[in-house]
Amino acid sequence: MARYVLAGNPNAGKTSLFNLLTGTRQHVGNWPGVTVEKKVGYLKNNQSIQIVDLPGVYSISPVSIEEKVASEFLVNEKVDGLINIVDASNLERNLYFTVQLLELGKPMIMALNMIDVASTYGVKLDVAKIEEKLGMAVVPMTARKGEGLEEFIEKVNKPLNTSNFNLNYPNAIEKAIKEIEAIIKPIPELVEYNHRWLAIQILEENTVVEELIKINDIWNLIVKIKEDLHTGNKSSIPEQIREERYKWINGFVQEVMNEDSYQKKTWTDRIDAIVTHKWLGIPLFLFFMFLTFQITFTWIGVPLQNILDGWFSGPVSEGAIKLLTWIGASDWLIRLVVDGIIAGVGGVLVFVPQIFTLFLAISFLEDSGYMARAAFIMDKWMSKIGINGKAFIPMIVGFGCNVPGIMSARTIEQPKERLITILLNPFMSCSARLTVYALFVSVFFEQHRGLIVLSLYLLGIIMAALLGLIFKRFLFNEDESLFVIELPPYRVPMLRNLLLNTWDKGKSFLKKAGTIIFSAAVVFWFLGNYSWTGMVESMDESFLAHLGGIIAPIFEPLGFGTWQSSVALIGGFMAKEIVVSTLSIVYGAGGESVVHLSTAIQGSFNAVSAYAFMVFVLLYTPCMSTVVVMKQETGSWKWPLFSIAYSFSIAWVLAFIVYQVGSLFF
Amino acid sequence: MMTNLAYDYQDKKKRKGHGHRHGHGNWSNNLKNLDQCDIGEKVRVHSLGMKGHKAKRLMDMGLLPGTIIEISRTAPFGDPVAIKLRGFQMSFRRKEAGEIIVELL
Repeated sequence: MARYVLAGNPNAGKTSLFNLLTGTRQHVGNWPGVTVEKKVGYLKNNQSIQIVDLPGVYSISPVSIEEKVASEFLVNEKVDGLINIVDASNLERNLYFTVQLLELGKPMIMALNMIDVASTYGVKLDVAKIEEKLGMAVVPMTARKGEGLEEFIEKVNKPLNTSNFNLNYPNAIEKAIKEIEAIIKPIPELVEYNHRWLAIQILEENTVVEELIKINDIWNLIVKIKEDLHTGNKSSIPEQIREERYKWINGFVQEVMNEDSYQKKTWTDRIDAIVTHKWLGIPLFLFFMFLTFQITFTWIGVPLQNILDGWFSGPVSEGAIKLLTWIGASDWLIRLVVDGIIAGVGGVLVFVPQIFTLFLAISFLEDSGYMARAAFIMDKWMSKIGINGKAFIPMIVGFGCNVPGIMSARTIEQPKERLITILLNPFMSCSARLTVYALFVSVFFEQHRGLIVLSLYLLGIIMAALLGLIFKRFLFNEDESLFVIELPPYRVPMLRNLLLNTWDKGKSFLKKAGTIIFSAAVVFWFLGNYSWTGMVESMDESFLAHLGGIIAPIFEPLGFGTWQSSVALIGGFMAKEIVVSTLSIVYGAGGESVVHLSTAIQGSFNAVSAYAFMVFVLLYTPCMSTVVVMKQETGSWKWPLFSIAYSFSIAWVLAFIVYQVGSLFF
Repeated sequence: MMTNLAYDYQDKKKRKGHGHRHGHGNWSNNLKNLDQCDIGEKVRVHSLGMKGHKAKRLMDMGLLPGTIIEISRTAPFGDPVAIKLRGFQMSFRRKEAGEIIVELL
């Protein structure tokens, strides 16, 4: 089996190409840093070629974690071939990484992607000449549309060429390279590596390569060579190496590309002039956010929700009862399926339209290129509370689900900034919490759905800002914060990619429904219908009621001190959707349908306590999956535990204030 | 329409009473700091003026001594700034822009 590695700059269309080559579905976004993880697949119709998708990086020599991942993989793992994807409309900068890859001396092929974009800029490339000068097959493509794929697959199925590419650096550096090569040569562990490449990377101060070599005693000799080289030069060795590469690239680009190319990006400029305008920029941004919410809740989400709701409580439940009765199932089984599973899982599934709509909107904003501008606009304000503008995407993703939100914080280079972004992410009200809002809002706030839900999202954001300020004071070192992002050209997202993207994000929601929520529904139904004496008539006597009853007093001052609410909130720790699913079960006692939940809720809450309950759910603790990911990304349990502690306290205090103060007025 | 990026910034600095930052105002005629440039101005990078991982990140993206860049825009209120280079656009903070020394063409 041969292992090929897919490597290239962020934003070059790597993910599209990976999908096309392996046939799997991955996340596609028009913003650097969206794809962070390594993905592995097999070439379609050829299982003997494994393809590893590396994070998009600008250089092998790492600054960020993604670059470290890529660098470590290239240095430490067995790599049989390189697939270099290059953005043809952005050739110069993309070639920098290409040169580093060429110096690795491995079999390689280039996918010259985004040829369509390059054409609209009037760029014409001499592909044959590129192939000749680089010493490898070069296939022009437009991966998003699948153009050029056939030719590429044909060429990638054949053995790849190893180029004899050689870039000559200034004499002094070449001399140092030879000296280092001589020292490395006798080391048995390093015999498999391209020594010239190792020497160059050492001079470039590639920390991954340094670690590889440092184990040996030769390191001191190498340090001496570096020092000797450096004396008398005003620019550092890495700088000189870079300069030489770009010099070569400049010359190369002039030979293979026609002149007069970069003038055409006027549409992007025009849009940017408005979108980053001094006075229009931020209001426009807020407007887009508001529009997103309106579409999701008022226009699309809710009407579909009502249809689904009627369907679950009507035909589905009745059909299930008929079917089970017909096969002679016992009464308790029928009750389990209808009151437990259908009520519990169905109670959550009705929100699928809203959640998918939200994900679709986020995908659109990402894919079109607007997200980068949003980060660009917001960085100044976000820095004031200790968050990097680059934290913008993790926060926005967090509105869908905190788990990928926290994981995408990996794009933030500075560890403390990353930590703060992770700790604040749970305040981004996720789609699971949305199920709770949607339920209560439909019962108590029919007239002002969008507004009330927006207020909750804003409350989360404000809490995040306040906490950010506090964390910044205690945790932060301003000097190290780095904000550097690319502003890609705008483009109209392709519908197919948008839908794939949305499905990708949304399917985990459905998966959760089928597993955690399903199991929780079964468990809660059982606990709610049984007690020490066996099956009970009324839920008030069940295990669940007893358990809830012990905890309920904590919530008394908040307006929802019932065992039902307590139990729902406990369930909410496992997954926030379980709050709704549990309420469906505990209030749906006696074979009632989902729709009767509204009536039951009206009896146990009023508008004020409903709002207090929603505030509590917004803030109280991250769900189990989020806690686990927090531990994973921060490396210790102390941070998630800290998060649980302060979240619960803040939630309690705020809900208390809302209920007590609110009750005075309403 | 040109907006001088530096104008507000220098004024504010004087008002806040910060000391004269090293390097500002000490250059020969054709060198200045990037944050003193106007929007739309094209200049050549003279030196990055910073070290470590910040310099590295900028250089990896193609911002090197000798690179020709154009200041394209700023965010509302002037921070961060965006520049065009090598056929693409990137952005970074005013603070970093203040450390980069450029040469007039």
